[in-house]
Amino acid sequence: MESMLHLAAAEIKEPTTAGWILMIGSVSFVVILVGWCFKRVLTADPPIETDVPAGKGP
Amino acid sequence: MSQGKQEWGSRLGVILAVAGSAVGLGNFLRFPGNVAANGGGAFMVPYLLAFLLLGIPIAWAEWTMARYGGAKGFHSAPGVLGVVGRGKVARYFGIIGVLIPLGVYFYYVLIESWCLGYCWEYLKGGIGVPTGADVNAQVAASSAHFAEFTGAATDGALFDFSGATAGVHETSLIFWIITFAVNFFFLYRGLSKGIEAFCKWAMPAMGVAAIIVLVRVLTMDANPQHPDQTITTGLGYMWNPDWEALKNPKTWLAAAGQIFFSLSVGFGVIINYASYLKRKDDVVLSSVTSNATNELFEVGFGGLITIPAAFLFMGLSISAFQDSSFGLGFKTLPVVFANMPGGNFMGAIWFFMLFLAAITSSLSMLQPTLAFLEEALGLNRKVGTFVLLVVGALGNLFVLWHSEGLRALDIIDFWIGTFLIFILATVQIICFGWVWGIEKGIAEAHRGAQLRIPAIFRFIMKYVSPAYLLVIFVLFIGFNVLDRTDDDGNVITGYWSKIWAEDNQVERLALGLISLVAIGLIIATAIGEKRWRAQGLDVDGLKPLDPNVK
Repeated sequence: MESMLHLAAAEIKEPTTAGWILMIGSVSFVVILVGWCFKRVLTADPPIETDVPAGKGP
Repeated sequence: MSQGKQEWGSRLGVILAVAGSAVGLGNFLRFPGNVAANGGGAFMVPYLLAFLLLGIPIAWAEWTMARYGGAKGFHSAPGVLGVVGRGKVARYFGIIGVLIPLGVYFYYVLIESWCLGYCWEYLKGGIGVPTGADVNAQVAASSAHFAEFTGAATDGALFDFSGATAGVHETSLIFWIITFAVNFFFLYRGLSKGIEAFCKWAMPAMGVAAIIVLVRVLTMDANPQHPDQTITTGLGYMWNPDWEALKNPKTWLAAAGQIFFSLSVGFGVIINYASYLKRKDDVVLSSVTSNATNELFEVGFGGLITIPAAFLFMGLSISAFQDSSFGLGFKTLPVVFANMPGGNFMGAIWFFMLFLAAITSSLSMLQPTLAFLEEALGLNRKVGTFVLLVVGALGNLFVLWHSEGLRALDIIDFWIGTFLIFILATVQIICFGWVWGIEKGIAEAHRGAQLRIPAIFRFIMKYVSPAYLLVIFVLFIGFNVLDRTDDDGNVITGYWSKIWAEDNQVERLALGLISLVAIGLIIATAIGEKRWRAQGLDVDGLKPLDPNVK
């Protein structure tokens, strides 16, 4: 039934404005996220301060 | 410990290895099917929520606990969880973290070998889809070839070397042997020289292959017989939102399941891989980076390639296949390649890309089990690899023989590759947030971190993630384990009933196999515990960590 519901809504049509926004937004989000992450990893900023002194951890 | 010698060669290496473990067939086949079947673009709302509330937090917890367990000298899930969960209960739950990757390997490497075999067949000229025929006839031909290649017609079919299909069966088995051997070759070479070296080459290669296929798909002309079937209408079919779908619990379950299984959290892999990190190595940014890489392949490539390409040739009838990864990947896409100019070349690239995605995952399934054998039984790498090779081959042969309808594969995938992942993820997030304590856990995560975990995640990791998991788990049982009636009054048999149905002996045999392996792992853990205590290791995580540990 669920897929039938989707089929009923699914006709052959161009992406709607919402469709374009969701597609471009989703793809852009993952591209920017992965680019930002790898830039941080490869430029290797010095580690931030730890919350716990060495040897006092859990 | 013999495992102490293993370590990652570089930080990028471990990130790519974890990302390689996460990126698999599900990114290219399951994700687009899920989107199309569950509200199109609207699916991204529960998907993003699950990413933020389940995927990222559980991955942080897993990376952090693993690094801590590694510093205590443990690299297997029972060892690490025994330390973090402070005792026997968590340690024995940790066995699930070995059972999952080993059990999934029993069938996953077969799917991997299909990808390599299909790649070879495309290099030789395709799989024989009759392009002049009606599209339904083409799909039927493609489906028939898949059934022959996998032996889905009857049990033992792949071992029948007589008749017209003997060549296909031989090809299938030869590629299984090749794939199996390649896996163990890289495993035996070790963490840095084997798995890491392979992933550092395979991940960029997979990216290049995905870009080639994506560019080709996005530049395809309209279907000449159905001019309204174009790539853009294919994108519209996949991404146009159906907001009503958000009212259906099935959509939320599918989104959470997709994130969950795609990121390899609760799988027993990260808890092994991250245990080889040094004490001061970052885990927070590394975890997010490997998750982001997985998302790039899933949303960026999987979201744009598979469904639009298949839609171009099949139109709305694609909906009959979108719920099945095998249906999309091995039955409909070959029709696309058959009709596409240069389709054999693109088909070879596509299936080689799937093979790379699969082998970086299957390697990550072997390493946790090998680490466990070495750690619990004191085996050296050579003997451990041999034992694992024998167990892996027996598991593969079981699934290869019981090939009718791929039922053995399906039942192991469900109980090991789906059900137990929920259990392990729940155990892990409870160990992190409640047994270890959220403040101590976050503090440990921040040791050497290059990214600070936002404060809100203290609340999320302690309360929201476990509660979200529980709700999803209850929904999952309701939809899949128990019998249910759909809106049309049809009874859908759940996996529990499937076990006990009179004709389902294969399902019972598969569960018997899983139980045997589980018993073996329990015995090995008991032996390991005695060895670890005799070695003076902090088995129950009761002592503070030695500050001199690097």
